[in-house]
Amino acid sequence: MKLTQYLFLAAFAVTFSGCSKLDSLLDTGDRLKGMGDTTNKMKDNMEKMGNTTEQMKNGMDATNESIRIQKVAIALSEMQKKENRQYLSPIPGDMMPAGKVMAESLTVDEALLFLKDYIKKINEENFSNRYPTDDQSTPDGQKLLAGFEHEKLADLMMITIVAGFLPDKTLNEMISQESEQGAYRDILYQTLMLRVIFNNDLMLNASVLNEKLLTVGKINKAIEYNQKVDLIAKLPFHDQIALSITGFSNPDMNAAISKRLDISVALKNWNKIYSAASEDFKATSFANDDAVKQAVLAKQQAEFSKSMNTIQNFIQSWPTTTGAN
Amino acid sequence: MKKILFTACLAASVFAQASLLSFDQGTLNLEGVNLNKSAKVNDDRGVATPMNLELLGAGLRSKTVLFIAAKVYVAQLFSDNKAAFKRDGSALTSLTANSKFVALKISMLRNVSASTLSVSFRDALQANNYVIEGELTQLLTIVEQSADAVQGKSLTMLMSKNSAGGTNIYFEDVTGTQKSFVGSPELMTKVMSIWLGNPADSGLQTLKDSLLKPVY
Repeated sequence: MKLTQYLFLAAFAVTFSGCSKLDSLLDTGDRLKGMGDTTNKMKDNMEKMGNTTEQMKNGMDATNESIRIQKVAIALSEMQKKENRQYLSPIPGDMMPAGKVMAESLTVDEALLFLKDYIKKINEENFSNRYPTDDQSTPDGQKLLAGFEHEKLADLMMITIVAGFLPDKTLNEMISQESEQGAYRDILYQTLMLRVIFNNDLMLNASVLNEKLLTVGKINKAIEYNQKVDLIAKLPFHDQIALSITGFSNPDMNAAISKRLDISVALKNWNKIYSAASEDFKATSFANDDAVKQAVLAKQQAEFSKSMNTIQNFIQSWPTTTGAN
Repeated sequence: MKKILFTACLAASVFAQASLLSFDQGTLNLEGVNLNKSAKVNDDRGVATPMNLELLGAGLRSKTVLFIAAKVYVAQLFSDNKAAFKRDGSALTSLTANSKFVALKISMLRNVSASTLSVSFRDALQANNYVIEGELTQLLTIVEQSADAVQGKSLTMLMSKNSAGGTNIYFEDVTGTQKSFVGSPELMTKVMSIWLGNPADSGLQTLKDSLLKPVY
């Protein structure tokens, strides 16, 4: 039997099964038609809503981007304020909060351009270009020169802080983008050296390791900072990592600041952290209840052991001959 | 006015008498700190004895953080045997082998907490491969429990060899509070290695170089 014959028989059966049923069928058909219209309207509305959501998302993205750019601009402006650059020693504390915000807000390309521009400015801008009519041998000229050099030093600290606070994700992207054939490969090398200086000199040795490592929190902070140093010291191109500064009027200053990465610093720090933690850590609880106290102490001891294992693993990750020359 | 001056002088002399050493004024200054030509060891009542120590050398301790060398203290090294002090690689050995009394005056140029000072001494001792235990732990605990080292004040460390062959060590903090104990014959060498041994950092290297140069 052909398909047309089946359809005819079906229509016949429906026609002769009763008029009431037919009316009912017709009503249902109208209702279905109405429902179809509603569905179509809903579909149109959904499409409109979809467009609105997309527009809202785009709007949100634009707003977030504006906020990010504002954060960068404000942070840069804060770091350039005279009052925040006045005291650079022992640490440039007034520049650090803004430096952290900026580092966390920059994209990889923005960070590279920012660092490139300031390294260029530090190395190439000189006193006679900035103050062509001033004689630096006069007392007033000397004062101007001292101020000019201070600004240069503040710029150097600013880029050091930003390089130091760059999130690991940004840094890793920067490394994969630039380390082999990137346009700013040299800037990457200098950025990595600045990051080592920041974490090794300031955050680790002049801060955390300046005091006893009495708590697990302090030990973990020391681990966190030296992990950043360790990661850079283990990069396959570590022998290229260096900071070259030539822009200060005093050549001794340029020589003192310019540095090549000594990879043994990471292992030295691990040993120092391990030794200090072994001597200094004391589990402490102020709980009155003896059972609670014992539980707290046991937990702290377990966390301490975990941290010490981490340090041990890092120590063992270095060849025993590291730094032995 | 005269009364005020008299009171001030009396207060100063009382302080001087109570301290470990009485310092003689020198003609030179370093970072605003007078470089004392010599010092006399005071007795247990704080009265100067004839035991005279001469200045061997002096220098600035700085610590470089983010490119800037921060000035921390001026150190002055004294001994009762200036003639035997060798100003070369054997300085530490020559000092501790030939001196009965050795003293170090530390004049603070910035505030440093007692805990930080103790940690910096520990780092320097470890740089000389000393294990921190026994008498070194005792010394570091004394330093840590002393008053914080405040700018403009001085602390003093005096060591002498006793008749039993050991080392008497006295530590006087910036408030004039003294603590002491008796250590091994090697304690003087251990302690002085902080400044004349293997330098723990470039700032201590520069200070060591300065201490090896005669001042007067």
